[in-house]
Amino acid sequence: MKRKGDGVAAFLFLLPLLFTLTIAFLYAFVRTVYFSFTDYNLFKITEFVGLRNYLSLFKEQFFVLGLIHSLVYAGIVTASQTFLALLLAIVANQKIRGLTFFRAAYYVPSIASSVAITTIFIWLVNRRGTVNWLLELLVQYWPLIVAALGITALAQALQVVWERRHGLPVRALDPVLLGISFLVGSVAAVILGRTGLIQPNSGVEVAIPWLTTRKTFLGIPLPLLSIMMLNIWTTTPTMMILFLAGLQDIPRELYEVADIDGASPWQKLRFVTVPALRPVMFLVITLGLIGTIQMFDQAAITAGIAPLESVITLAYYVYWAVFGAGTLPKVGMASAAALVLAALTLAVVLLQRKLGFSEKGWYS
Amino acid sequence: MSRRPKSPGELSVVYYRGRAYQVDARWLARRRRVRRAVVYLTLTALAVVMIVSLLYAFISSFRNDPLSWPPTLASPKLWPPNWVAAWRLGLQGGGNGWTGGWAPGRRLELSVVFSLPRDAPYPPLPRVQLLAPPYESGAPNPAPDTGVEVVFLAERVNGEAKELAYEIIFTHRGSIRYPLLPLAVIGPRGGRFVRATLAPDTVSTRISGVYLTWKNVVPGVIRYIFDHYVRAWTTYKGQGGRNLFPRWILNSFLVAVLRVVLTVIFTTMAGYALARLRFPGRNLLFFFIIYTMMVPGQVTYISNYLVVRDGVFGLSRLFGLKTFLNTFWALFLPGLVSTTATFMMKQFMESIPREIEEAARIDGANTFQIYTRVILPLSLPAIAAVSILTFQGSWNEFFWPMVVLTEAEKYTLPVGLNFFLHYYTSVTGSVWNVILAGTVMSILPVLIIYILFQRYFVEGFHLSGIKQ
Repeated sequence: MKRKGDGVAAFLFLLPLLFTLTIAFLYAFVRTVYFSFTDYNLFKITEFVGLRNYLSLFKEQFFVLGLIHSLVYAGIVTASQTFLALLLAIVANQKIRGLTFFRAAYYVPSIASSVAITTIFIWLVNRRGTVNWLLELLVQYWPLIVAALGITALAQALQVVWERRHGLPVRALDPVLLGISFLVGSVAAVILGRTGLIQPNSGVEVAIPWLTTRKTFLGIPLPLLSIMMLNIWTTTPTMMILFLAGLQDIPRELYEVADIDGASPWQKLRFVTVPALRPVMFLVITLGLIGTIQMFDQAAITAGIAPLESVITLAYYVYWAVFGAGTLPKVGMASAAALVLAALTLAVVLLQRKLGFSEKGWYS
Repeated sequence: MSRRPKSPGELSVVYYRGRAYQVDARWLARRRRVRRAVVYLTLTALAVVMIVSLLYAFISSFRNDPLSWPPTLASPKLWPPNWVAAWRLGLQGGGNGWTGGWAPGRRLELSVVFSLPRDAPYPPLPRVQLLAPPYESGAPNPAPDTGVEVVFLAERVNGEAKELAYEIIFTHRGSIRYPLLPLAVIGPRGGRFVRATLAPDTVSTRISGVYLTWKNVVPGVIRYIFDHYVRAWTTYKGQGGRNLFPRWILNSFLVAVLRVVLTVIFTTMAGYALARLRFPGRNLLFFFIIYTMMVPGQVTYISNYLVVRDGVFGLSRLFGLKTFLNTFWALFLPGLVSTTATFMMKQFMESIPREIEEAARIDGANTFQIYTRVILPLSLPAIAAVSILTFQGSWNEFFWPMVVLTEAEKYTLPVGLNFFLHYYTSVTGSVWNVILAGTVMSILPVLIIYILFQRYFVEGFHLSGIKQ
C-alpha cells in the first residue's frame, strides 16, 4: 500500500546512500568512460583521442597478459574450487554434530586479510620453504607410496569379492572397506620400507622457485599458478559449506527411490544430486567468477617478488598503468582497461540472470 | 565372524542397483558408524589444512630461522628451560627478569661447554666478541663499556670425548644502560658446542672454531620469547623516531570503529527505505545496488582518487586542508555507505513482520519514529552482523588505502604489512621471523573478534550470500 509522504521520507533516508552512489559510482563511472577517450595523465588533458586507447590496449603487452591471466585464473580457480567443494561436500554430507565447529574453522583463512594470508603463503612457497619440503618428501617416498596404494587396491579387491560372495551389497569403492584396505596398505608399506625391501629415492632435491621465476607450466606462469593454489586453498571450504547446506535440503527419499530403480552411485550423482544443487551451483560459480576475475590483492602483493609479467592481472593493470609504471600515469589506458573489467563483471551478472538464477537465491 | 543373520528379527532390507538385499541390521549399523568416522576424518583433515598452516606460521614466528631445512617446529624460544635462563640473565644484567637490559655496575656470568676428542691437546680459552646491535634497533653499542673475562671451570670425560666448561664474566664499567648485549663466542677448533646457560641463536663451524652467537644475552623472559615481535613493533620508525607498527594498528583501529558507526547509521536508514517505503525508481535503485556490489574498486578508483585529491569539490577547505590525500577522510569516500551492508539490512528488515509496523502507525507513530523505535531495536541481529563484517572488511581493506595513503605514518595495517614484507624481503634480506611476527600481530585482532562473535559472522554470510 502507498502512503502520502513516503517518497519524501524515502529520499531523506536514502540521502547518504544516494550521495555515495552518485559521487563514488555514477559520477566515477561516467568519468572513467570519459577518461578512456582522452590522454589524461592526472594533471591535464591535451586531446580527445577517440577509440585510440582501446586499440592500443591490445597492443600493450601488460594489458594483454593481464587480460589473459585474469580469464585463465577465473576459469581454473572457479572450476577447481567448485569441483573440490562439491566433492568434499558429498563426502561430508551426513547428519553430523559439530558442523558449527568445522564451519568456524573453515572460515578462518577468509577472515584474515589477504595481505596476511598472502604473506604466509609467500613464506610457505619459498625456494627452501615448507611446500617444497613436502614435495621433496613425496618424491623421495614415491616408491613406498606406490606400494601402499597398490596393496590398498589389492586388499580392497579381495574384500569386495569376499563380501559379494556372502551376498552383501557393496560398491567397488565402498568407503568402509576402503578405510580398512588403506590401513592394511599403509602398514604393509611401512614394513616394506623398514625392512629395506623398497628403498626411498634418496638424494632428490626439490627447490622450485614458485614465485621468483619466469618459468611457465602448461603455458601458465608458475607464480600465477601459485596464486591459484592459494585462492583455491582459501575459498574451497567456504564453497563447500554452501554446497553442504544445499545437499542437506535434498529429500532422502529421492535417493531411496533411485536405489530401488537400480541407479549406480554415478547415476545418483548425475541425476539426483547435481540437478537438485543447481541453484547453489550457480551461486558458487557466479561468486567464484566475480571474485576471481577481479583478483587484485594477491597480484599487487606478490608483484614486488615475482616478475610483473608473471602475475599481472586486469585489475592490477588498471592500478599499475596509473601508479606503478614509473612513467607518466596512463589514465586513458587504465580507464579503458577498467571498462573491460566492468564489462566482464556485467557479463557474468547478466549470464547468471539469463540462466534464471536471480539475486533472490543469494541467501537461504 | 559370520555375517549371516542370527534371527529373522535382525534383518534389514537394502536396495542396491535395483536389487533388494536382506542384510544383518547390526552389520548395517556398524557400516553407518564407520562411514560417519570417514566423514569426520575428512572434515578434520580439511580443518587441519586450514588452521594448521596458520598455527605453523605462528609457531614459526618464534623460530630463529623460519626457512631452516628441513622445517621444524622446535624453537629454543619455545623451550621453557630457556625462559628460566632468560629470566636469570635478565635479572643479573639489568635487574629485571621480564625485559632484561645491561645496567651500569652489573656483573653477568655465562657458562659455555664445548666437547673435544679425548686425546686432543688442551685448546686456548674461547674468544669473546661483543657485537654491535642490529642497525635498525637503534640501540648503542655496549662494547666499549663492557669488560670480559674468560675462566676455565672444569673438565669432564664423557666416553670418547672430554667436555670443557668455561665461565665468561662480563662487567659493566660505564654509566649507560644498554637494552641489548649481543655477542659471539668462538670455541676450540675441531670442537663441538654442548650447552650454555642460554641456548645460542646460531651455532656454526668455522675455520677458527665453533662459532656461537647470541642476539642478546641479557634478554629477560619477554624480550627473549617475543624478540621478533619486539623487532616487528620497533624496527620501522617514522619521523621523530616514532614506531610505525603500533601507529598502523591504531590507524586501522580508529578507521574501523568510525567505519562501523557510520555504516550502521547510514545502512539502516537506506535499508529501511528500500525494504518498507514505496517510492519511484525503487527497483532500478535496487538493481543498481546489486551491480555496484559486484563492481571492483578498480573501475571507479581514478575518479574517486581525483575527487579525494581535489578535496571533494573543495569541501576539504572547511577542515583547512587542500586535499584529502593522506588523511583518513579519504578512506571513507567510496565506502561511506556500503552497498553490500545496505543489501543485507534490506534483506533482514523485509523479514520483520509488517503487522508490528502497522500497529505502531495506528498508534500515531510517524515514519521516523517507526524507524527509531520499531525497526532499529528489531534489527539488532543484522546490525551486529553488519558491524562485525564491516569491522573485518575495514581492518583488511587493501586497495583503496594503498591508493590514497602514501605516507608511512598514515598507513593502515594491511598497507603497512605489505610495505613491511617488501622492505624485509628486499632491503635487509628475508627476515621471515620478523615478517611472520608482524603478520601474526595483524591477524590477532580479527581472529579474537571472530572467535567471540562467530555466530554473527555466520549470520552475515547468510545475509550477503558469502564473502569472497
